[in-house]
Amino acid sequence: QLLISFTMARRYDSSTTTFSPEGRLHQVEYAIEAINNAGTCIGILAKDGIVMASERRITSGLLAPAKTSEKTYKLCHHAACNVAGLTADANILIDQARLRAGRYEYQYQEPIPVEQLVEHVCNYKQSYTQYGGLRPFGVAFLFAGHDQHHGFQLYQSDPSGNYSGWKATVIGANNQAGKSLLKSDYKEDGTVQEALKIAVKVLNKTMDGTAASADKMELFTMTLNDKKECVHHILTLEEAKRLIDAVEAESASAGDS
Amino acid sequence: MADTCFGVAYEGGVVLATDQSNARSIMVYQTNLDKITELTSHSAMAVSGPNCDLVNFTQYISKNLQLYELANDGTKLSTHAQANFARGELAKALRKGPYQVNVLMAGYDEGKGGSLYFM
Repeated sequence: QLLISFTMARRYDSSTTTFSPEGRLHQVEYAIEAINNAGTCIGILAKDGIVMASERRITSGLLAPAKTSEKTYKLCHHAACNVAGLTADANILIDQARLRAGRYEYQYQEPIPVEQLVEHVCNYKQSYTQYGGLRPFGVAFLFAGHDQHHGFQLYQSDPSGNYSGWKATVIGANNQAGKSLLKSDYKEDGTVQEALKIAVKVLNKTMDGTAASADKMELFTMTLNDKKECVHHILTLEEAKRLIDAVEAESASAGDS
Repeated sequence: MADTCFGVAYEGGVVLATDQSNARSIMVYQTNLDKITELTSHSAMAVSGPNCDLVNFTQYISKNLQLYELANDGTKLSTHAQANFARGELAKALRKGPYQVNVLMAGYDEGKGGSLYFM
């Protein structure tokens, strides 16, 4: 069965704008596959904020450290995203998101509701699966944001332009292993601190093979300050180290391996 | 033309009042023109000016605000946001084909009470 569909696929997979006889868009599926090789990103919704944790893939010791982050991007005051996939593709979409957020605020003098921002990026991605014969974007996003309508929200999107809201999710390499661990460990209405620890645990699992260390992880939190403004924070190396040590201590005392 | 609009905002909402005449000199076209347009469930607009711009502008703003709620799963825009949208449209048209309207936009927001905007 599988063999037949692969040979069939070759006739219908070179154009995004063509359905296969089984009703599939192979280019879109291949794009989604590309992301399964990318660095893992985890998102967890807490009652007082959102945590996004990603695997930092350091390809060479000669690399100069990136601006502030290579995985987390601020879109506006109240939204940020994590990228899994082709960074160059992601940059285009992030620009789109920033423009949209800015233009909305210019027009309405109010922050853009998070879902509308996500939907805008996704509609843009979708148009590359239907018009122009251009390839889809090889990017999956985790969007974290806060608005007055729905509080803290976490969304995931993929190259097809589909998106959905999550309490906790994983994208990128080993996301199935990550998701199954989240299913057992995620606690609704947990705090950001608890969510951070769960995120580190999940990253340890998805990155299994590599020793967990603060420089190989990027940990981001979004919370509200006393003035009800969004605070975007990427943990410093020291903060990350302390967190990783705490998680290791807890798992050692709990008796897991 | 030669119309009157009043607006009074208070804690529980806003009161809008307008006249109903639609006339040019001695030609009285209408004595029952409703110059208050409903925008959303909690906002409305009282307008004065030539009948063409009055009708065109109010319906344009009203329909766009309704489209927003339809397109965004019922998300509501605050009165402040609606007013800024409307003033943006007036500004865009200003150096092309201005709307010769004066607007009193009123709305009620949870936690804020009534608010009234003039543009």
